[in-house]
Amino acid sequence: MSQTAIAQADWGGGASPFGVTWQKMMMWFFIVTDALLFAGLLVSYGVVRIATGDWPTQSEVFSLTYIATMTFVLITSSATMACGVKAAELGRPQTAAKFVWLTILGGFIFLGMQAYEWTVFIGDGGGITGNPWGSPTFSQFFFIITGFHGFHVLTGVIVLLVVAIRAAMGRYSPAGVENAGLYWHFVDLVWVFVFALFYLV
Amino acid sequence: MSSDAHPYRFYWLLWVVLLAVTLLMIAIEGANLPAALAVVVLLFGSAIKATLIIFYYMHLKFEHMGLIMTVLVGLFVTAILMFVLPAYDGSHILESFQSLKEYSG
Repeated sequence: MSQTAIAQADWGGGASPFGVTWQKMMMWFFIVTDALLFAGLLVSYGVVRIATGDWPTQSEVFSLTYIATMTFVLITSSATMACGVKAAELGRPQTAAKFVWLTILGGFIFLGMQAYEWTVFIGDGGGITGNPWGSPTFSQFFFIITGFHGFHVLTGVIVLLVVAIRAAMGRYSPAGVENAGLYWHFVDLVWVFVFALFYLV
Repeated sequence: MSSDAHPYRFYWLLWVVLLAVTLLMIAIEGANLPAALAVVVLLFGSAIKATLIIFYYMHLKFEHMGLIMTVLVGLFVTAILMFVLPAYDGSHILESFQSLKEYSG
């Protein structure tokens, strides 16, 4: 096939190169670039932590049970989201909306828990310029990494609210639920690495 | 993947697996393994969780091969960045700082 023919076959209009809608393709591209953003944050955290030499023991600063509960909430909301996408695929808008509302609830619980975690951390003396546990970079990376992730969760909750409210208004599309779901799972995916690298390692 | 009678069962099975891996990772953190080994094991656990989420919750397993490769190559570069750079660069900077301190007395 000549180059022109290939171009016409794939890009002449109406054809989608990966067999998905452009919305879904763009969501995947966005997820890859956003993953690189978090990789950048986590790499710089790794380099600085090793270079600093006096990193605090996380279990002495945070309650691991509390962080594990936050992880539990986020994984559970991911499961309800997956069920919501499945219900939308099966053509059950009401079940899908129910699962999306459950996912939103999970998102709000996670955000509330994170707000409380920040409050306790700041109350214990953790700040941008220093903290009682060791290198100032520890609290700086805490705010930047969990803050960026929390902002992503907040964005996800807003996106899901739009999906749920539109569904209640009867303006519902299974593809919309799926794309919102992809983003929500990505937020969970990032937390897997934040949890392991920032709180456990 | 999931039967018609129980369309959501598979996702809840996956939920149990994800929680089990998370609990295992917390147990490993508390087991006082040598630091380097703990890091490798914890990253392996994260990789398992990430793979399950991407392939099944995000349905990537059932997409066009072109899309799978696009995403996986992107994430592979991410993984290389995350797992290869920090230790080498970080310890190099630490050594430079230490030798600088020794030099300046």
